[in-house]
Amino acid sequence: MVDVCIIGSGAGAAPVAYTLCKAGYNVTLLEKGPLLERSDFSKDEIAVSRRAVYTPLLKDEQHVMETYRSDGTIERTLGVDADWSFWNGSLVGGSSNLMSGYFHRMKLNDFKLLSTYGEIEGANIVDWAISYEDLEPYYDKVEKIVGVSGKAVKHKFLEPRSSKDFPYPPTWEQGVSSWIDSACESLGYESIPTPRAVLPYDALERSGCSYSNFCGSYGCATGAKGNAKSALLDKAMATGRCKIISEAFVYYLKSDALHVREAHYFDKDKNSHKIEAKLFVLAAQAIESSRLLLNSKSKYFPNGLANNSGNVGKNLIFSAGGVGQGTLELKNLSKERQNQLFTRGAFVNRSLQQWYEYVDRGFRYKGGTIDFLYQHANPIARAMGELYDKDARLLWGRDLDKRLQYAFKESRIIKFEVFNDWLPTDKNYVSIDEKVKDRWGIPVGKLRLYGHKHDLRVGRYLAKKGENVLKEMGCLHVSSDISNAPPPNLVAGGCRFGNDPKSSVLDKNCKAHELKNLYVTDGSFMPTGGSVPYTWTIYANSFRVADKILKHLQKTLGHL
Amino acid sequence: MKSSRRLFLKSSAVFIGTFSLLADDSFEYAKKISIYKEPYQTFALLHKDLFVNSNIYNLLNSINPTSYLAGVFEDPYITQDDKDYLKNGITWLHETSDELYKKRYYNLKTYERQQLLHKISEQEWGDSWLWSIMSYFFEAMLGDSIYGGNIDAKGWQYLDLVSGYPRPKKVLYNG
Repeated sequence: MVDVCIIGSGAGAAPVAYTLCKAGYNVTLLEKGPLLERSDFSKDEIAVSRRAVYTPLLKDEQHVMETYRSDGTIERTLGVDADWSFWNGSLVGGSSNLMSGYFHRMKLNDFKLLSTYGEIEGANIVDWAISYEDLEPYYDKVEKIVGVSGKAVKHKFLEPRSSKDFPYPPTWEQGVSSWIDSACESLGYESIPTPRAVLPYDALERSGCSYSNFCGSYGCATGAKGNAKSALLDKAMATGRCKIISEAFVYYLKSDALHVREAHYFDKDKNSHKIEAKLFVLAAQAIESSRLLLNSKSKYFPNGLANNSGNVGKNLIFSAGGVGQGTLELKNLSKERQNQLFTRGAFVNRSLQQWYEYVDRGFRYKGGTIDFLYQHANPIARAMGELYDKDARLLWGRDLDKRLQYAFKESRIIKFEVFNDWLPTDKNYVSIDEKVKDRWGIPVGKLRLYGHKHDLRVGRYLAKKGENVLKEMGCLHVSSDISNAPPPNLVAGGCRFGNDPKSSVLDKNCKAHELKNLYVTDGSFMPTGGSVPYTWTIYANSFRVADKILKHLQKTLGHL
Repeated sequence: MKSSRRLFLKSSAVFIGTFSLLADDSFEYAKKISIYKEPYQTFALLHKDLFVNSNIYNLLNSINPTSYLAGVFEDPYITQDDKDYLKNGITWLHETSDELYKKRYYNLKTYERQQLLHKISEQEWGDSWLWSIMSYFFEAMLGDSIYGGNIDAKGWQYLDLVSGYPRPKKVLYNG
């Protein structure tokens, strides 16, 4: 029997393993994907982006999606039929391997959305069971241990910080970043440096960024990206007390009335194994964590583990918002600016949070974040984006060649992403589809998907600000697309935490209300999501919960 | 329409359990083919026709799109349905050619082939099929040369591109 068994190995899992192993406890992680080292990663667009080799094949593992038609009836879609994937990264370190590393903290009011902004019809908004002040020391810890680069500048919504500035300066920045600053200044906007979980130079026993120009979606070959494996698991392994079992798919958690006793898993050859532990931590990413609990039925928990309250899977959230873009043409720029525009490898690193809260037509809105970036460098994807003319006619021959020349040699696309709250509702949740099984014969997760119309309103308001910046910069063809399509890589909720066991799955320390030795430390705990990407908050909360688990273990097993 | 194109390209999801074969250093993605045999005779001609009068036409030997496409037909990440769709498109192309010109596609004059391509691109199947042909063409032209296309990085050079590093040492490697 091990002290602690962790299911998953990403941003929700690794801080717990790191903390407990350093404290002397034995930890075993079960990860469905393979164990890859930095030397295994390359910038192979065909493998990584076209064939998605780091996520399961949908034929083997999929989800069932249910969406609302305009008349309110439900449309059911199998992932394999629609090529609709909610997988993010099945490998040790999880999807943190493939992130772009935009790291923003949540703001004070994100922790008290209900009491600050009030109810919104059709949404299950609540205040968090903890405050920003509770999480701040752990945001700070992530900056230092995982490694966050940036520059803290005073702005309207700068959150209180215990450290004056980031421990690492910003990564190498594009010349375009200063153009964004100038445009914002002209408009009266406050552009701010985007913090990034990327090391600008060698530190923390990892190499600095190589500025390869292919960051998001790709594994990091230098270790500069603050993914869970490079930043934390490698160090946990070095203690000699951390064991990672890769290619181990956990399909059942066996319990009695109050304790989880065993995790049952299949290895890559479909042989079943079980592992006993004194304490279990679930961090398989929001959808799969709910799925495992719902599939772990017993006489004690007939509706799924920790689900006698019926809350598991409920209030799933994504990040609302969308994207926008504009084109800068080389011919309209000075020689110096042309060179700046075509610099490769550097980061744009600019954000706007001026409208994290705003008033529009007398109504006080919780707003969000706008991040600026270059179009992704993937050349195959960029070329495919040039296949149609403005009248949606397929191009080939000389016409297509001209468009490729323009897109690759004569212009650059500058983009922005909008992040705002995806309001939790009764209409967006995870359940189990008993009819559809994965390659191990286990029922798959079923996602009921719904985006609240309020999210679109906020997203469009923010997108207009992003468009204004691009226009001020001289971009052509400026447009944006805000939709309620759920982004699979920005998912949380399903096991919300709270003080009332009737309306939440986890207590304020992310321990299941109904069990004495089960914690959930991925993004599942989040009752609302804030208007920033989730990874930093997941890391920080996992460090926070790790300290609670440490006390729990010291109390039950004694100090080591 | 857009989603069906995306659906077609990305539904590349058949697991055959032969990753070790693909991860082998000696594994070659692009395959040696005879362009005098179908379907490659028509695919090769189509690749020329889709880039006629463009500078890319002169790079076709370096892009090697037809041999690359032969590799696609053995790619375990691409479903049999998608592979069948690519090949069925050749049949439909010839059928349409027979219908309009009473000749197979490869027996048409150059301007007739262009007319025919415009014709089918206005139909849903033709638009979708040509889109998928183009997607694999661009993979051959702009993917890493380890896959057998983009020989001597000619495709990247044509568009002034520089690869990200490190470059792959094995095709379709996922550990």
